[in-house]
Formats: sequence, C-alpha cells, structure tokens
Amino acid sequence: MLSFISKRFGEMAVALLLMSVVVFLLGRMTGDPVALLLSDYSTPQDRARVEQELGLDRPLVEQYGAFIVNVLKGELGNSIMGDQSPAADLILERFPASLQLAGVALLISFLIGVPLGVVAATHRGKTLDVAARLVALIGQSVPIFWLGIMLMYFFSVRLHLLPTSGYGTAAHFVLPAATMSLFTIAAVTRLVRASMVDILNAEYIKLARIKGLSESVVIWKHALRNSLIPVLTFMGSFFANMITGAVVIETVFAWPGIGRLAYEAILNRDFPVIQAVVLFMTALFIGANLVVDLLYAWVDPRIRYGRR
Amino acid sequence: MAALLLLTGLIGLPSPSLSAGARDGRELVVAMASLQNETFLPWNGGGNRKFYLDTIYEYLVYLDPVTDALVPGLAERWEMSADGRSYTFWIRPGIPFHDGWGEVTAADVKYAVERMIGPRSIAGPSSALRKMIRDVTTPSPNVVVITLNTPDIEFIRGYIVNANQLSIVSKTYIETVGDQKANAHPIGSGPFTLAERKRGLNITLRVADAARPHWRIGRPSMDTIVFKSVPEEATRIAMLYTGEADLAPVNYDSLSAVRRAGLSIHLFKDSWSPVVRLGGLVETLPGFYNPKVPWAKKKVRQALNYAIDKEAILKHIFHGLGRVASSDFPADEWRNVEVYPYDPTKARKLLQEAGYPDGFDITLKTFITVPGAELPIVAEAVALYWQAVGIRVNIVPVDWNSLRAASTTGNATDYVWTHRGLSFPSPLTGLQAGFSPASVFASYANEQTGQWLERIGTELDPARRRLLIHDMGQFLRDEAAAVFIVIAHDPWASGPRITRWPFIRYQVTNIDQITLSDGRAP
Repeated sequence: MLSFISKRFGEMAVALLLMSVVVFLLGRMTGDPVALLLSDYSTPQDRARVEQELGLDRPLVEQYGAFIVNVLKGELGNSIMGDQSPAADLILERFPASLQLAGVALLISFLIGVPLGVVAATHRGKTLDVAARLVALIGQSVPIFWLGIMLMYFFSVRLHLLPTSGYGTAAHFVLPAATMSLFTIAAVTRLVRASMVDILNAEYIKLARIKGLSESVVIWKHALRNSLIPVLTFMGSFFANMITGAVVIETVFAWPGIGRLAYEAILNRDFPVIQAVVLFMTALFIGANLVVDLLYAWVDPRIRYGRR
Repeated sequence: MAALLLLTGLIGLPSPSLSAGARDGRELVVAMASLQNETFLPWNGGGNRKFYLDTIYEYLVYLDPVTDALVPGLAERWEMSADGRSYTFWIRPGIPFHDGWGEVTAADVKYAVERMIGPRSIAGPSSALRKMIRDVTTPSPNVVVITLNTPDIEFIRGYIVNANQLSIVSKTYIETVGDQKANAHPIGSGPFTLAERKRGLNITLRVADAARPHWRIGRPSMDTIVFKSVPEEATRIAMLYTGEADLAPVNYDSLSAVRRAGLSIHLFKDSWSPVVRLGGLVETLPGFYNPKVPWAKKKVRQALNYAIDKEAILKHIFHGLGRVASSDFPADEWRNVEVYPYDPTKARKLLQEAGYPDGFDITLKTFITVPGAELPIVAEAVALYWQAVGIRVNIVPVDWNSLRAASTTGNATDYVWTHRGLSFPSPLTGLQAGFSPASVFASYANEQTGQWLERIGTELDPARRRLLIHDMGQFLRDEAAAVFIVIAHDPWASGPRITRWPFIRYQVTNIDQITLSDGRAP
C-alpha cells in the first residue's frame, strides 16, 4: 500500500510539472495583462515600463524558471490585479465556499441517486424503473444555466421562499446545490441501476435468497455494497468537477467560489492566479482520484494494492 | 428542502434564514455585474470603481446633475490663468477626513495629484495627466496651484471634476500607515466609510458620521450601502423583483420585463455609443498601420457606414432610446454633424470605385462589456447589412481583454471590432484617447488628427474651441474614422424604495445621494 501511495505521489508531481508548463505557455499565448494595467492615453513607452515591472519583458524560459523556483519554495506568486494579494490567499479564501457547495451537492446526489438507482434496478422494466430513468435522462439533459434561473424564478421570485443568490446562510445553499446536484443525481441513478442489475443476477445473491434472507437485506446489504464500487469511482471525479467546474452555477447564483476566481483570473490575464488555480485544481483532481483508489480497497476487500 | 437545510447545518453553516429580501430599512443594496478590482486608492485602479470610491472620497469640483455645470466641491473657488496653463484652487476650510485624520488642506490635494501621476499609478487618466502637469505647488495651506505644460481651458471639466478619478486623499494618513493599510481601510472626506469587504462578494459602506449632516450632501437617506457582485443579469433582475436589491444595471433586452414588473428605469442619457472600430488605421505608431486592408481606403470606410440601416438598429436593438450617431463617442458638439444615411446603392458604388466590386472578406470581432451587452447583437446586424452589399463577414466572439491586449500592441491591424465609445465631460479627453498619434489606444490617428488635437488643446477661447471640436468631429465623420452606429443610453433599474437618484451621465456616481422612500429624511 505504501509503495502504491508513493508511486501515486510521484505521478502527481510529474502531472503537476507538466500542467505547469501547459498553463504557463497557454496563458501567455492568449494575451497579456499589460493592456489592462494601462490607462486610456498610454504610449508604447508606458507599455514597456509596465512590462518591465511585471517581468514580462524577460524570455519565456527565464519567466518559467522563476515561477517554478518560487513554487518549490511554496510561493505561488501575487495577483497582478487589485490589491495584489498572494494567489494562495485568494484560493484559500474561495475554496471553502466551493468545498461546501460541492459537499452539499454531492451528498444530495448520493442520498437521492442511490435509492433511485436501487428502485429502478429492482423494478426493472416497470413503471418505477421508467420513471427513474426518465428523471436520469432529464437530469443529464437540462442545461444547468436554464435550470438555475428556473429554480430561482419559482422559489425566489414567485414563492419568496429562498434568496435568489449570495452566500452566507444555509438558505443560500438550497438553489445552487439543487441545481448542481441534478446532473450528478442522474449519473448516480444510472450507475447504481446498471451495477445493481448485474449484481442481482450474481451467484452470491441467488445463494443469499436460497438461504432465506429477506429481500430487503439481500438488496440493501449484500447487493448495494458491491454496486457502489463504480459509483465511488465516479464520485471522486464528480466531486472534483463540482469544485473546479462550477463557473456557471457560481455566476448565476453569485457564489464566491474557486470557479469564478479562475474565470475572473483568465479574463484579466492574471497569470500568477491562473497558474496557482490550475495547479491547485490539478492536485485536487489527482488527490480525489487517489482517495477513491484507497476507498476501493476498503469497500472491496478483494482489491489490494502493491501486491503481486 | 428541509433535508437540504439539515445537511447544510451538518457541515457547520449558520442556521437557516429563509426570509428572502428582509433587510434593514436604511440599507441600500446595489447589485453590480462586477465589483471591479476592489482597490480603494484613487490611483490603484480604473474609473469603473467610482460607484463605491466616490462615496468615500471627494473632488475639488463637481458636475451639477441637472445643468452639467461646474459646482464647488472641496475647492470653494478656482481660477484659470490668462494663458490657460495654470489653475489655482482655494480649498474649503473645515472639511474633516474620517476617523480624525485632520482637515482637507492644499497639501492633501498636492499629494493626491502627485500620486495620481506617479509612476505606479494605473488610474485611467494617469498617463494623460503625467504629460499635462508640470508641477503642483501650495503657496498657502488652503491654496493649491496646478501648472500645465500646455494650455487647456477645459482642464477642470476634463480631469478635476467627479466624472474623473482625481479624488482627494489624506496625505498624513497614507504616509503614516502606508499604501497597503490605506487601501484596506480608506480614509476620505466623503459621506461614507468602508465598513466591510468580502472579496468577490460584496463591499459594505457605512455612513461616516451619523450624528452630523455631511457638509456637501446633508444627511444621506441610508445608513449603509451594500454593493453586491452579481455577474448574471437575470439574477440581478430577480433580486430587484424580490427586494433583495434596490438598484442594478440592466440590458436593453430586459427593459420590457423591468417595466412590466413595475420597476423604475433610470437612463444615463447619451452616455455611450456602440461603434465598429477599424484595425490598422494608426499611421503614427510603428506596427499599428496596415495599408493592405480594404478599409485603409476612405471610400471603403464610407461604404461600410452607408451600408448600415442605423435607424433600424436603434429601433430594434436599443428600443428607440437614443439617436443615430455621426461620431465615435457622444458629445454635444457633434449633434449637428450629419449622419451617414442608409444607402446601400451608394455603398456598392463606393466599393466599386475603391476597387472592390465583388466586396471582400472581413473579420468582425465582438465581445460583451458593461455597458455594451448589446454589442454582439449589433455585430450580427452590421454583418447582415454588410453582406447585403457584398462584404463577406466572419463574426468572431472574443473577450475584451484579449482584444485590448492585441489592439494596444499593434496586433489588431487586419480585422474590425465592435466597441463602445464613452461620454466625456470634455470631449478633448475622449479625442486624445481615440485619435492621438501617440496613444496605443488610438483607433484612427495620423498627422492630421495630431494637428487637430494640437489646435483644440491650445485654443483659449471657449467658443472657438467648441467650434474646433465640432470641425474635428466633422473631419472624423467625413474620413469615416469608424463605423458609427447609435448614441445610446445606459439603463439601470430600481425597486420601489428608490425615489430619487441625481446622477451625472458620464459615470455611475452619486449613489450616496439616492433618496429611499423608507430612508432617513434629508
């Protein structure tokens, strides 16, 4: 197990290094922040001065070298916009909001998606199955932007039950978390259903039934645990995706998360923040997948890492 | 929903509060598309922060919201020298800075100007002021003299008034605590102070002295102003419906819905103009000129103007609110400059005369900005009209920041783009930005525009200067320096609590002078 984890950390380091090269070069290919720091009457001389101040007049290799050296020292650099806060501070400031929203949305997805998948599998071909699959289809087809606006319209504008947007109280979580979870509910439902359908035909399930165990014990205890393995695989990615890819939801509901930070940094060509956010997101993805791999072993005792 | 609230409680969030829109009676909430870069010193950001900065800091001179005339601010009076090179301001005595940091003096004004033109200033007018100002002196504690390198009889309208960024800070405070702390806790002499800032979320301002009326605006109607960052237009409007916000910028597309809901509309009249700028027409900067593009020929540029039915664009995209433009940006001096009429036949003839009987291919880049959410749809309309006279248009959506970077480095010389021209209290300011031979932001510049700017800048007679501005506008129109579309308004919507907002048309300001129906009596 230890060698497995060490190997994964090694892979993580390589992935982060490669990602740092990609984000460094791609960011600079799409423009630079100098124009955003110039006033409307600036001359070429003014531009050259700002470029020099930001170190953007140096060769790319030199800029990248300085960036990597700083990263190894634990410094992700300062934003070149606003009050020039450290990029790490900006990430840490926004990350809790994203983590909370993704956590709530994932929990909702699990609590609704798993029972829905089980019900669909155990009522295969019947009305309940069709209904669950329809929910799943709708959930995976509805544009998130539209859904968010519709939920806001009904629950905030028409019914005055919930705040339209913002962050701060539990009520503020309801609409964005509901919007965010719909796609994942659909995915979890489909995954659990497919997995359960296979497992319910397995020999050990037939044996459990022959032994006289009640149907609910067979389904919820014996079948469900194994059918959750593929769900777990996806949950890691879902969770990381929810944190890093929630730009639309964060925009619609004015949620101060990391997705919006990334989006704003890209618009402003705020290189240090872009680089820091991308590296952070990469680490998050890899970390989430590592956690999932480790959870495999816990859920399925047949899986053991590091043994031949 | 109950389950969801339980879950959020489990992960350590505050207890649920479901009362949407319930707020303190003396709180004004403004939902903004962006809080911009959330810096709080006049020189460490652009003028798009003025909606919050102008409640904290004050100006030497203000513009009257009704008459547009100059009215005294921190300067109780001022005087221009006969040669138009020197301005003397007498500072109003007894105006306190917040938190007991003394009173506003000439030394504070000198410090504010010097920081504005300092090497680290990134304020909008910093480059222009750097070139214009020779020195700032303080012959006495309440007198400050600004001397210019060249005459400018509209220096006050152009750069000193509250439509610009030269607001006054406390020298003692900033020198004592340093820029970083002064930015985190700004000290001005305005009616409000910064109470709280949640980065990317909101900025809360609280009335500076609840016990006394403010010397300039009296008692504000509200105790607190909260600016919320709400990037999505639909969300801002929903907030107005529910009462979670009192005021928000809106797009033309939303005006019908806003009216149906019984919300009020405030129009910043003649405040901006959608325009199509043509790349590669700056002859004076190396790398910024491209004689190979078809629109390097005047006849082609004129054809591009004649080909478009601007009345139709005004009617259908801008709801008839505005007028057809004959200029790159709004200015009263150009009201009687003749617009290009819609004449596709003439457009085709001009293209033929210019050597393009079969038209040509053109790339039209477009983006969204505030104001300017309508620019992509304007681009679609322009493309249809151009296609009707044989010009094949490829529309490319971009973001403004990419385009801005390209256009200021000479990398936008082979395409055209939609943009917005903004309104300036002194049109020379806008002309210098857009047509100065030395400006990297110029969209059309040559020896002639340089001469025009020189003549206008040095003209000491106000009437003759206005005439020169008119004539330069006519010149730019005849040269078809851009494709002029319409002069538009910037629409805002407000809920029922707002009964009065005496804004000036050039910038989003005077929010502290809004009257609330349930607010404090003046």
